[in-house]
Amino acid sequence: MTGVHATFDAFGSYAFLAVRRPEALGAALALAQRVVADVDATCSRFRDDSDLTRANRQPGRWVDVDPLLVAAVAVARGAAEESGGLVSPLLGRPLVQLGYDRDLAELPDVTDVPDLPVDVPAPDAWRAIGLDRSGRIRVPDGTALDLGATGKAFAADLVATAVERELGVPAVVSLGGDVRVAAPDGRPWSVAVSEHPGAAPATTVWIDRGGLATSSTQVRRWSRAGVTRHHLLDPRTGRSAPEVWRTVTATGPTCVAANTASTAAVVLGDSAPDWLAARAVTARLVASDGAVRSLGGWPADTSREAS
Amino acid sequence: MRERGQRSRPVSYDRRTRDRFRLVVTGVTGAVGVTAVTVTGLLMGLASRDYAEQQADQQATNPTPAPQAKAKAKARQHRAPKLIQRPHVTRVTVRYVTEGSSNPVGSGGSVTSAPAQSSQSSQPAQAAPEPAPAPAPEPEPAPAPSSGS
Repeated sequence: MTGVHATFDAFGSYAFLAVRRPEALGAALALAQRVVADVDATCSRFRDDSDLTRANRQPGRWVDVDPLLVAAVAVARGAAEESGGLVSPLLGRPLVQLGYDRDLAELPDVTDVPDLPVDVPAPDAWRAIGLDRSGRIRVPDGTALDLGATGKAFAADLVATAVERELGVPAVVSLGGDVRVAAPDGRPWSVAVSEHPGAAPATTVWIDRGGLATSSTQVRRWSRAGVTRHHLLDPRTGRSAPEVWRTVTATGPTCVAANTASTAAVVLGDSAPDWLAARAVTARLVASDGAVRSLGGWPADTSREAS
Repeated sequence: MRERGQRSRPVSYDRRTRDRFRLVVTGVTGAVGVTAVTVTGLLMGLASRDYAEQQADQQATNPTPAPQAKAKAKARQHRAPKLIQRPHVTRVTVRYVTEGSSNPVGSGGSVTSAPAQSSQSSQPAQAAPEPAPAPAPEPEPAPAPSSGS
């Protein structure tokens, strides 16, 4: 931990927090870690004791859960609405059937398992998710929740809100690459964009407010029956999205909005630029061959991308 | 620890009150885990116990209470809250959820390849005579990483 920024582990990935005033770092870090711990305890698909896991065990029935999970699923359902179902919270079963049934660090490559068909949720199944903000949820029959698409972004927005409300200090948080500015003060924050955690940045940009998120097919990959998968599923097929764009970075008013845009773009493939442009999203798309395309005023790369 | 009432209250109480609340929630959560009782239930339980003790004292001093007092005591007992067992905890973090779940996709902040000069950091056009030494600039943090993850 240095004077103005700190890092810690979160959601099987990394977390980064920076503040303008060094004296606020300790309190901001404690808040961020608390939020991350709460979101993980309620929303993780890889924890037997999480509220999400309990809800998934009883599809079709109302289950008492923490209101925090209800809020997270409401946000995920909102992302589905915004994206026309391209970013779905009901891909839990296909992910498990494709082999992503535990934390990726524990996921072995399996070759002796046949490639089985997956249960593709109905296109609008997410509309049938029952939500009671006082603390109940109903997962539609035949489906299972997975908040991998929006969970980290939701948590980043929560951290930013917590820091802003409790401490009132300008800050920036990144949870596994999902970035959100808190208490914007007009001074921009630098963001290093890369495909892999820990990789050399492909470019560095500066943002003054809102959110920024990167979705990539190059991480969270595994193989089953000799077929390599990645975690960004197309809800229309229940399979890993074709890799037209291997990495998309997008901005938005919130981190969830940015993440919805970047994930939807990967799923959309060829039609992603038009979809993003129609929504005035500032974005950077990296094609499968490494070619970079910028949209909505995204600046030219500060360094060449390593293909 | 389930705190439904707390969640919906406006954030108007002061920091000390909030921190005390958080301390209680954290402490009880850690102590009893997922089979926790609510703070409300706990307080209700304490109130209920106090009330029972009062009743016992009254009966000891007045073993045959008047019918009117008896009815009053019965009515009170009827109103006495029950200890509520909740199977799960409620995260204090939920208070930071903003109203509504909509996060419309669209333009966010400005994205630039270099930090724009803010008015705070710009130098005055006319140098003042014998300016006071400027404070040391705050250290710049490392860039926030954004990668696929």
